[in-house]
Amino acid sequence: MELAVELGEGFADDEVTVLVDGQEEWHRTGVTTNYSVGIADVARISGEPGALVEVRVRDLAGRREVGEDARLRADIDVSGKKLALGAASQGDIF
Amino acid sequence: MTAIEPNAALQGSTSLDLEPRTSPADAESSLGTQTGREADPSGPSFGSATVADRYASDLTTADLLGQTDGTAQREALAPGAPAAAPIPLPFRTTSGRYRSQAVGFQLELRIDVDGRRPLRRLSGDYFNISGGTVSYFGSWTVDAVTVTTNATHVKIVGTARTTWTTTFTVATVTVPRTPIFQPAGPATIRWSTPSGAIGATYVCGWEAGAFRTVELEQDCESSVTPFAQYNTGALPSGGPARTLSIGTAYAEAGVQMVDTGGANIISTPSNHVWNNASLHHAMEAHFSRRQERPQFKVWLLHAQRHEFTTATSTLLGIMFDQQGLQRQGCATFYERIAGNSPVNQRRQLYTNVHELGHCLNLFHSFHKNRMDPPMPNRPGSLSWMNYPSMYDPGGGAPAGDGPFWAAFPFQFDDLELAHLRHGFRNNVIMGGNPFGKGAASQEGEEFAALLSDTTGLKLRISQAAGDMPVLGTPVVLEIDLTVERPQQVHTREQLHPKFGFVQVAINRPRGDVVVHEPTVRHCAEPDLLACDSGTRLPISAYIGYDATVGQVFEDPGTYRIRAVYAAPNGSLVVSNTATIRVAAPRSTQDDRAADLLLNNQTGMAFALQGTDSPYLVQGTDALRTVADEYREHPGAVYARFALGMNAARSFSTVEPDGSVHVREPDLGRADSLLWDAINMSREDGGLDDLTVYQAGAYLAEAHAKAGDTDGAHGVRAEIRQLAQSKNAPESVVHSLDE
Ligand SMILES: [Zn+2]
Repeated sequence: MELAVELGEGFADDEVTVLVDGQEEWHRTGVTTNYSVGIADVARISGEPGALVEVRVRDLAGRREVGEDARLRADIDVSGKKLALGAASQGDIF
Repeated sequence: MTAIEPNAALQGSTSLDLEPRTSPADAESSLGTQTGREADPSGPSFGSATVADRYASDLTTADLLGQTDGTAQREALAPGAPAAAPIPLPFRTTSGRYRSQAVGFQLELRIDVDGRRPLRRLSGDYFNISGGTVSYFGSWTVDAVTVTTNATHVKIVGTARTTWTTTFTVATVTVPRTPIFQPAGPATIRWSTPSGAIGATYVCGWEAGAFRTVELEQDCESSVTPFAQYNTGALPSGGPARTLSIGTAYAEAGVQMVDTGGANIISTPSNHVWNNASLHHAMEAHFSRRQERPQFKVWLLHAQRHEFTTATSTLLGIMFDQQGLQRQGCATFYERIAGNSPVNQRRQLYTNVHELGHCLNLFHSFHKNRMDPPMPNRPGSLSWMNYPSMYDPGGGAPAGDGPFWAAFPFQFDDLELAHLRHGFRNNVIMGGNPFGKGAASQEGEEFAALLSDTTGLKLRISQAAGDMPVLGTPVVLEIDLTVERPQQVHTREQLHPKFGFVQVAINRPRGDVVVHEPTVRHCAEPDLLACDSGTRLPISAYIGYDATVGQVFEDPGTYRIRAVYAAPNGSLVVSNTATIRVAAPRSTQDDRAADLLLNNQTGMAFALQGTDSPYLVQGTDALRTVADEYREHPGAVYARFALGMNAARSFSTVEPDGSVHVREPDLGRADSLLWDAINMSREDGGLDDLTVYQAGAYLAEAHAKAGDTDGAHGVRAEIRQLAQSKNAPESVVHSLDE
């Protein structure tokens, strides 16, 4: 199925790679959070439930097994030292 | 020093009498002074004869005489009318935008003391007028004013923060009070130094009730009916019922949105989906007033759908312009909020005002900690810039959509209002600073107070030594965390910015903000300490040299500094704003010493507390020269400190052949330099106390390592005694124990 991995807060001119089961599926440079929506980019990849999605940026990595939810979200915390990859929240963004 | 800056008066000029004038003759006599000053083209511009003439009648209206405070009387408007029962008329509000004449420096003055949601602030922008060219010079803001009102005048006094260097920081503004049906009188602002020396005076004619005017150009995708207006009484809310459009919502904030009309209809295929690149392209094609320079002009596209919309989340709006000169355009997406239902109309209003707020450099209430410099988040803010679903007033009070809308009065919060009305121009204007930079740097003390209440922690910062360091003197910041409620915090050592738990931001007189990046980063696991209430953890940190910008304090002028501490429980503790005024060199000696100390290698050598590195020879030489030949300069004692610290330890150099050369500690030299530095600092002047204790502890450690136990003991005892005699906090004295 198609997965949308939202690259959320804390990205600043970053090089980001998204892998599925160790295979590079998405790669982009210059990824920067737009704080008017709290999103830097949306990586659209395909992956079936049970597959392992990994987001790599700087020396950080976040991993998560694909469940029923087609949307994941990656945020880097304020210290810049932690990457959290979890289910994306639902609702409006603006 | 005759600085060409707008707040200074020319040397030798007499001051303009600012007391309220009561006769035309007085007004004219002061004109003579102003015209005389204008003779010097390098001097600041003052309100010219024509401006003052125009307002002379307002200044002197005899018809204002005899009125009672707070009201004018009708006969004031019709001097010849029969004096029947006088009907009191209210005065005009003083708040609004004023402008001096376009000669030399032109001042746009914003007065905010009455009217809707007065913030009791002043602010202004200076423009340099040269021939037909108008260029922005700088901005200033007074965060708190004292207002006194008498029968004829309003007088407003306060101290300004400025984007340029000036000692004339005290603003005194007088505005005549006029009845509401009369033209507004001019505002006269006189600058002076805190000690009372008089600077420049500007007479500014009234321009508008709004603090700022923004030109709004709106275009519309063919399938969309753009939002027009919403009656806030249609659904329950937290404010009075009124009809709001984008324009009136901003007018309530004091920002005039002038719709430039002529909306283009942008034809797109059905099911067209926008992305940020196509939005930017559309802006370039359709925003007719766009230019590659900062201007108060903004483009808003009413569109259908953005690619960030997914099955479970809808993108309702975006400030997409985050490349080049940013914040010039935004868009609202109607796919899920179209139509006339009150809920959707309310949502359209909210989104449109919100996106334009981003263009004015406002961040979400829950993203304020992501700004540069960061601020605490305000999830409980009833503001256009929050997300209703994220609303959380705290304390267990109801959160989320329902409670938000029930309480939302359709407005910005006070700090956002202060930014919109009084933020430095480049922090607000479209195409100015990048999105998020300087988005709230002007907000200070109120936050420190707010935060300490909830976290039980208080962070105070201050300049560690001296009042007004002369240019080149290493700037050391004292960072002092006080625990007010028992809890775990980082150890005193880890509060040094090099560990990253405390971050320091410096607002420089040239107008930029440096988020301090120490040259040496220590990546350490947090070392936590359980503290009782009342524990004080002070540490000193040299912040004069930065990994990104190099020398930080390289201009004379006023620097405003704030720090944020990321506490172990995740809360951010924001410090007070410390002000450091760097004085210009007073002599040729000072000049030369400043040159040596402001060299980047010297800054680096100092940050390392001395070094033998062959790559920093020039910096080390400069430290030696300052220590030996410029003993009178306040930087000399710091140079001795750095050289002494380096002498107290060994230094390893890798030779070209791969062998390692170790220079052993030179205790004799370390003793001589460090004791010199310590002794020069016992009274006023010299090193700050914390640095003195650090030097002593380091020296004692060096003696101990060399096997000189007695020497180590002696040094430690003496420094400990010194610390006790200076009432150093327990945590500091304790650190000097054997
Ligand atoms: Zn937003």
